[in-house]
Amino acid sequence: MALLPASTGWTFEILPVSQEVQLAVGNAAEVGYVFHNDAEKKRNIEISVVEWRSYAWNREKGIKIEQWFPAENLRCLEIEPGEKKKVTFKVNVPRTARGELAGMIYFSDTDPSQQYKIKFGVSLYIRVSGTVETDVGLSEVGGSREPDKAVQGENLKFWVKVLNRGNVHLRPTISASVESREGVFEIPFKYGTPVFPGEQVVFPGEVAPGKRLPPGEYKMTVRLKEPGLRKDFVQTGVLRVTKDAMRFSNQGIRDGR
Amino acid sequence: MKRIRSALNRKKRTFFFLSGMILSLSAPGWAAFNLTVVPKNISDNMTAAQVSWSSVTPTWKEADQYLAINYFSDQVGWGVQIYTDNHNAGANPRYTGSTSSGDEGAGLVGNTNTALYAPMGWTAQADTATARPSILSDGAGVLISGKGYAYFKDKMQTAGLYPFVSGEDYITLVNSFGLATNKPTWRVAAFSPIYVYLIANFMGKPNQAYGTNQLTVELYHQ
Repeated sequence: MALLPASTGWTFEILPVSQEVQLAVGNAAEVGYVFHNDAEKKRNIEISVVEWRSYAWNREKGIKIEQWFPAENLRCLEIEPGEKKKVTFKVNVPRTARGELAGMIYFSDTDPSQQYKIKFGVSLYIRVSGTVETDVGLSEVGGSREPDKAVQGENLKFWVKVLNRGNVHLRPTISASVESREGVFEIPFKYGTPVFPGEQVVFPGEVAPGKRLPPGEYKMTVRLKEPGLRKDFVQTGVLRVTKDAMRFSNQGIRDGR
Repeated sequence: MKRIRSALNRKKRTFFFLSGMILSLSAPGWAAFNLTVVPKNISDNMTAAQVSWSSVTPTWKEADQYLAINYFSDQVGWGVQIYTDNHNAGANPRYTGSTSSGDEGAGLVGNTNTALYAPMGWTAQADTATARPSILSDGAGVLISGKGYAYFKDKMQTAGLYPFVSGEDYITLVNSFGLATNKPTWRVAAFSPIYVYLIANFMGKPNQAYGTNQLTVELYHQ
């Protein structure tokens, strides 16, 4: 017989869940979070941190998270029921750092009755002043059509691949529109997931069930918005729809800076 | 629900504690999270004391219980990931075996011979009524990828082709894009709770008790 322990879990509130700080090389700062224990019992919270993703430049320079988020930040908090407690962390930028430093700060309850390890993570990004490179592109746009008996029609699904070739994470928002005889319809895309340097993220979009797009050619426009870009990135092409598939003509990486 | 409403009502409040320059904050007010993990019997959906494997055979075997995972976050960039941390000082049993293979210790660790472990896998579902995928593996017991089950990773898994990477899609059960399918298809829509079914491979494992107290579930905000 093999065993895993019984249930565990908890609830809390924190502010904020993600911070981006800009600092120059060699400089230090203090970042803060406010923790609210809205439970009816005292909590003992353990704080830990991990490097979040791996940024090529800083990895090659051997920069470890301990160098910019010192171990003295890691401690335990006692928080009374209903109490709000501010916790601050000292951070600094190593002299060889470029682009961005990223960490996930975890809060976990040390209550021994919590048998599964439950952790809550809030992110901290430090952008290194004067070294940020923003370079993003759309590497692929595609779509598929799948029969859907429930709506006596089909489900139209789209995807857009976003490639980050810069050195800081980006939070793009994707939107697209297709012009058909019935008019223009917008394709809502999922959002919120960051794209880290060197990574490619597929953003899915889904049209409401039952929407029809008969075989033919349509004008399709894909837009990418990102606060770090000087302007929105727009790509227009022809969407060729066949009986079984959809293909966007304007493929390949397009730059957005 | 009362707790959630209460949190949302306080959203107008703002706090700033920073001596550097803030570029952005993800939320203008309080962010409320919760995360609970409850083992339940597959047989009757009743809450169980623990997850266990009975009538173990020398192959992949599904646990007698699943994990009902309740989660809530009102923030963008959230995800729930799952892994083991069997090299941790608090692990009991603590894995002491090979660390060179690239999949070291990600599963149930032997209580007596702690250098051995039974690899674990998982599949996630939006409900308990849908049939789980068949467990497909090759003759050596290697799970066939893209068929509904993913291997567990261990936090210390840094070597090999598949190192542990926090926040990677492979270990993320659910995020704002949906629930993992472990298939070459998109994530599917799901709402809390989700249901995670665990499997372990006992092929070639000597007779001893196996377990872990380091199964970790994280709600992160990236």
